[in-house]
This record gives sequence, structure tokens and C-alpha cells, in this order.
Amino acid sequence: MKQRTRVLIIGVIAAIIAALLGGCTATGGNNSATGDSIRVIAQSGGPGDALKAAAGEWNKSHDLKVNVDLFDYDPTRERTVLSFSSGKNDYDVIGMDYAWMKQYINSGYLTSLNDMAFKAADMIKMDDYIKAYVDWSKVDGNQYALPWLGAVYMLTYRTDLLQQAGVSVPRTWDEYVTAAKTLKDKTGIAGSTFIGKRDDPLLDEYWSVAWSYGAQITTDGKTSAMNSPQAVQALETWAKILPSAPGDALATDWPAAAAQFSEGKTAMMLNFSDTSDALIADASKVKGKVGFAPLPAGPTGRLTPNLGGWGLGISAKSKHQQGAFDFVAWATSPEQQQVGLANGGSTNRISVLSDPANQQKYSYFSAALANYQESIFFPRTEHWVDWEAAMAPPLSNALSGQIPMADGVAQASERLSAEMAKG
Amino acid sequence: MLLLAPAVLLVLGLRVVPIVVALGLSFTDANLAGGDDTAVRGVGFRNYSTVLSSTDFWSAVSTTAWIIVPALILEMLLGLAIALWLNQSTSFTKPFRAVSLVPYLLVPVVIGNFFRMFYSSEFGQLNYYFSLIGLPEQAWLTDPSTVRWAVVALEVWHTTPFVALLCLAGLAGLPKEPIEAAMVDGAGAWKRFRYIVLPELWPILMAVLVLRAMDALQLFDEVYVLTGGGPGRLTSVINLYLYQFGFRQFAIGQTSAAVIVVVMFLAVMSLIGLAFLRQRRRWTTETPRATDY
Repeated sequence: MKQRTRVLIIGVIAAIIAALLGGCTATGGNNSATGDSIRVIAQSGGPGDALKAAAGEWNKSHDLKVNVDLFDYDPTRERTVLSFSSGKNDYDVIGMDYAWMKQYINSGYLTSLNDMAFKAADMIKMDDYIKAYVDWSKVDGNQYALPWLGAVYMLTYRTDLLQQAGVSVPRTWDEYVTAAKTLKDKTGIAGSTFIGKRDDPLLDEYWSVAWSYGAQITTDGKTSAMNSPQAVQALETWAKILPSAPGDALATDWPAAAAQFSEGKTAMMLNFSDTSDALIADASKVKGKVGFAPLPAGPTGRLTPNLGGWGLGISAKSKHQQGAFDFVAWATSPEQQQVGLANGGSTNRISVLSDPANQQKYSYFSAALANYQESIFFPRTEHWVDWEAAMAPPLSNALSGQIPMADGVAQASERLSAEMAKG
Repeated sequence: MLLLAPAVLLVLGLRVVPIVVALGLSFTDANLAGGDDTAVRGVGFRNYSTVLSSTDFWSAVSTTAWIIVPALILEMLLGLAIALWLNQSTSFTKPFRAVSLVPYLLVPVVIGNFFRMFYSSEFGQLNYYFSLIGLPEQAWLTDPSTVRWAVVALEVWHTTPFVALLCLAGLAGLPKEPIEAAMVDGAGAWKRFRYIVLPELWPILMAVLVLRAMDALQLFDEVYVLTGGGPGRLTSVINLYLYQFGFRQFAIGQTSAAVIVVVMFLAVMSLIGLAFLRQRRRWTTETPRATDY
């Protein structure tokens, strides 16, 4: 009996160790370096679904199959970083928010696409992409990604409510503040959304306003240029929208704002263009009552919508770089972006956005194109996440009335400079 | 000895090894965002110095204290009250014992999402009930004067059943004879509670308090979903600070240093908890019971 117990215990321990070691080898088997397929990591959602559908189409005529893994926003980055830092290098095609790209480049995750892009120039048609995306994905003369998911800040409004209140589509931020107040007073519905949730949501909207006042984050990448009268004035003007916005404004992010507008709770919305498809869909409660416009301009006379978006890069560790590039070039071509629209895709191709038939079907395309052409992207730095974490809390404090606006900007600038000093 | 091997392996693998690894990493500049060939260098106590001199860290510590202290007080009071009520054997309290545990069984992320909708100024049930009695709408999650209390209320709702359960177990273990004797002597309910039940239950209450305090320090999921740490840094608890460094900036060396600081604090609290448990054990073995006579 004693002998049997001893054997049983040793067996259990051996099984545990075997399971642990087995786990190691099983995950190692996913390594793209030894795999016979191309693995793509990208964000879930409509464009992700469209990319997956494109991969299915691609696989019908290619021996080297493409598998697309889709994750939520943050997990996409976490999996990518952990895949590279652990040496597993699971993915051949790296989907990324452009805000992450500089870090990916500096950490050696991405390969330059210059040579491959040059050879495939006819298919890629680089001039047909929104120019800001091409600029954004180019570092030191090297192209590190092809633009995939397009989104730009824009103004969306309820045509019926603006008519009811006798309000014109605002062209400046001062007009926007007045319009929001008038709409609330005359319709009883919140005049505007306000995306004020701390960190990226707050910063995307604030800088869409602040750049148009002439404020800047940095001029040299080494010190903050934020502490300026223009930045304070922009924050004060933006905050004037708060009384006309839903009460949860400082906890509202992009999907929450889109939900408020689509539920008929606000008369105007400031948000990224990729939230527009749901508003014009048949299931939308506001279908047929929505208009789209360029973002209001600031005192500089410019509109400065923040550019969001993702690119698809190729892993520097991939054994199938050419095959992966061929898929990416094909999947982001104007023809495939046109096809992808039906599957939830979002386009960043000028030809697709300006096509009259598309503009008829997707009523926000014309306004989106106008916003894209004036769009501004955040500084390319591997420390962008740190910079966000530095700027956002004081601005949030100021918006919630805990500190004066000028102090909010000054503290954000001071924290940002401290982050930049770390190098 | 061999019989203990699986348990020892599990404790070593899941508890000791990660802490030792974290301790080692806390003295390095390890950052997961680098590639697999990025060299990791020793930095001495620099990470600890950075963490302990960081205003964000101390802000997170004070925010955590601000939230968990009132939450713990309310949980203990409510938990004890519920336990005293459930300890009465009536036809209503028996099924309620099971029902009252439901909040504690729910996943924190689900609770966070539920409360986010509940507190919503536009769509929330709380403002709806306020409107029924003529009170104005509140922006519970963005008003600096209410947002921390909103988190406290969530935490109290979630974990009070756990406190009640442990208090109920403690009440069930109390000797009945002194209480019955006091009743015969004419002591009212309050006097029986004040002079018999509470002193006997005290060591258990203290142990529960320490357990809950350790658990509350790990508050993360609900706050992450509910407020994301805002507005400003008003609800940025310690674990949100750790998440920011660990999973957004991937500064694993610095995160490990912060984790070690938190673990040391938790270890002190564990020792206090164990001391209370030992006190309870000594008390139960040394104090003569009515049945001992």
C-alpha cells in the first residue's frame, strides 16, 4: 500500500512537470519562424472582420495561407509586445495603432518596407492613401507600415434638431459652444457629446481643439511646448461645451459618445469617423437625420482634426516577409478596401472616399475626406503612452473643476517635460 | 515528507518563485517593450527611489486609503448587522443566507459594468430613482465630490456578503450558555450584544478586518471598468498605477519595485492578521466555557 502511494505521488509530480514542459513546447510550435502560414495580429471590430474576410479570399488562391488573430485594443499591443520580448515571434503581419509604431521600430519588431513597396508600387498606389497616413508610417526615410484602418475626428449632427432650434452647422469652436447651448435650451436634448475620459480619449478630443488655437505638444521632441496661452484658451473653450453635454462627459470615451448620439441623447457629436457606419445603418435610431461636417476651426483659421488609425507592418523576425507583404499590399489596395466596405472595413484611400457612388451610400465620406486632408497626428515617439499618462490627469483635474484651467495646462506641461527628460 | 511534495511544489512555483523573480527584476531596468535580445542592466535601488519619490505612487496610495477605509468601516458594520440578523433562525432568514452571497460571487468586471450603467447620468437607474422623488440628476462618476463615494458604495455592495458570512460563522461558534444566562438575568438585546457577543466575536472581527483590508488593497477590475482612474487621479488606486507601468509602459523593473513595496505592506498586514488569529486560538483554548463547569 505504501509502495503504491509512493508511486502514485511520483506519478502526479511527473504529470505536473510534463504538463508544464508540454505547455512550453506547445506554444513554441506557434512560432511563425517554423510555421507554414502567415499569422496576422490586428484589432477586432468591423475593419478586423473585413481583414479576416479578405484573408479567406486570399487563401482560395494562395498556398501560403493567412490566419488573422483579432483582439481588443490593449490586448493587441500586449500580445505583440510579449510575443517579441519572449522570443516567440508569433506574428508575421503586425497590426498597430500608429501611436505604438516608433516603439515597435526601436525595439526591432518591424522591417523596412521600402524595397518591397518600390517593387509593388503599381499595386500599392501610395499617392492614393491619405497623405498623413503615409507620412505617419515613415520614419527616417523608411516606410514601416501600409495604412489599414482609417479614422479621423469629425463633426456629426442631427439635421432635424438643428433645424428645430434654428442653428446652422458651426464653423468655429465659438460657434460650436453657442450651438450646443442653444440646442440644449431649445430641444431639451444635450447639445453635444464630450469625450473627456482620462488618457487617450480626453487627449484626442482636446488636441483636435487645441491645435486649431495654435497650441503645440512639443517643437523639438525634448521639451514640452504645451504651457501656452493658446493651450489654456483652447481648454477653456472646450470646457464651455461641458454644461451642454451629458453629465458623464468626463467618463465618456468614443463608443460611449457614439452610443449617446445614436440613442438620440445628444444633438451633435465630436468623434472619430469610424463610428459613423452605425449611424447610417438600417438599425440606427437616427438614420436619415444625421449630417456630417468638417470639424470647427479655431482662431488660427484652421481645422485640426486628430488622426487616428492603424497600419499593417511586417515582422523583422518573419520567415515569410515577402509573402506577408504581398498579402498586406493586396488587402490594403483600393480594390480590396472597396470590397471591404461591405464587410465592415474602413477606408483611407482617396479614390474610395471621393467616389460619388460611395459618397451617396456612405454619407460621411465627403466630410471625412475634408477632415482627413487637414488632419494632424500625435508626435511619433516610443514614449507616447508615457506622454499620455503625463498630460491627461492634470487636464482631467481642470475639467472637473479641481484646479484652474491654467494650472491644468501648466501641470500637464511640467509632467510632460519631466517624461521627455527621461529620454 | 513525500506526501507534502505536490503542495510544496505548488507553493514554490506559484508563490515563492514569482516573488523572488519580481525581487530580482526590481533591481534592473527590464522593460518588456524591448526585443528579446535587449540587455537587462542592474540599477541598484533606483527603481525603489523612483517609485517612492513618485507623486503618482503616493497619490495612488492616498486614493486607495481614501476608498478602502470608509469601505471597510461600512462593510464591517453592515456585515455584522446582516450576520446578526441571519443568525436568527426564522423561515425568512434561511433562504436569504444563500441569496445574500450573490454579490460576492459575481465577477468584478461584470459588477463594474453593472455599476457604470447604474450610475450613468443619462441612462442610469440611480438618477431615475432620484427623479421619482424630485431630486436633481447627478454625474456620479465625474463629479469630484461623488466619484470616490460611488466606488466605495460598489465595494461595499460587492464584499459585505463575505464579511457577513465570516461573522455568521463566528456567531455560530459562540457558546449559547452565557447568552441564555444573561437572558434569564433580564439583560436586553443590546446589553447581550454589547457585553457578551461583541467581546467574544472581537478577535474574529479583527481577523476579518485584516483579511478584507488585504483584499481591498487589490482593488482593480471594478475601478478600471467604472472610471479608468479618473477624473484626474481621484480613483487611481495602487493597482491601476501598477497596471499603467506594467501593461501600458511595460516597465517591468519599476513595476516590480512597486509590487515589492506593496507586498511588504501586505506582509505586515498578514502578520497582524495572524496575530489576531493566534489571539483568538489562545482565547478559545484558555477561556473556560459554561459547558466546562
